[in-house]
Amino acid sequence: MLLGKFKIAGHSMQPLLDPGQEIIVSNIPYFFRSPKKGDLIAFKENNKTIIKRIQKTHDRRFFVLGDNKQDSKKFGSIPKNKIIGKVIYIFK
Amino acid sequence: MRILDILFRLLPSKTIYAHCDIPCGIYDPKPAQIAAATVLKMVQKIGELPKENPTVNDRNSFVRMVMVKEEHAQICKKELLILWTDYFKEEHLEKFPDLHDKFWKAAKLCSKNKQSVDESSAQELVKAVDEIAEMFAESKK
Repeated sequence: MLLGKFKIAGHSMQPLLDPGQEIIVSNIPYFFRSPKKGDLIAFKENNKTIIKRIQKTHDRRFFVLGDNKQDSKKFGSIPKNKIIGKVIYIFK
Repeated sequence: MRILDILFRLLPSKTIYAHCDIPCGIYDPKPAQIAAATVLKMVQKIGELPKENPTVNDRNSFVRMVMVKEEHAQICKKELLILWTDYFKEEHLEKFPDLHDKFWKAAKLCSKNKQSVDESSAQELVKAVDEIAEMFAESKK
């Protein structure tokens, strides 16, 4: 995805992102480098687009977790081909 | 940046989920523990039945107890497999390096308890499931 605008649903990225807040996602940054720890990413899972932060990378897989530890259960690891892009802009 | 902000605002937006509501489930080792305890209880009750000159009612009780033992050993195995394959993730292996071994042995004990009426095997199953429940509780900390 070169450029996409998304509206947040859910609380797991608080306090950075509140429900209803909008963001811009793009895969252009990943043309030049691989996703790395700390990146806020959008990825596909069960036909849904999900936002999480990369907690660590291991063996070309990415462990992701929400920022809000009280509302973020363990998600596990995802392969790179599920990642649709990096959050490049947050609307204030 | 202000021009970008204005341009970005013109784009249509779609929903992105911050909460992973589909892959996240409710997991609990309690059903497996109850099933394992039921297997043990059935083995003990079968052992209490008269071995010589059993009545028709004794035989009926024996069949029913074997059926319940069989059913609960299967429930126990199913519940263990859900925890093993859905709840526990790759990163848990760092904290519990013997995780796969514990689940594999506990699942094998479910089968062993279906094949036999042996109190020591039933006790082993209860112990194995309790150890998994402890691991589960530890993973929540």
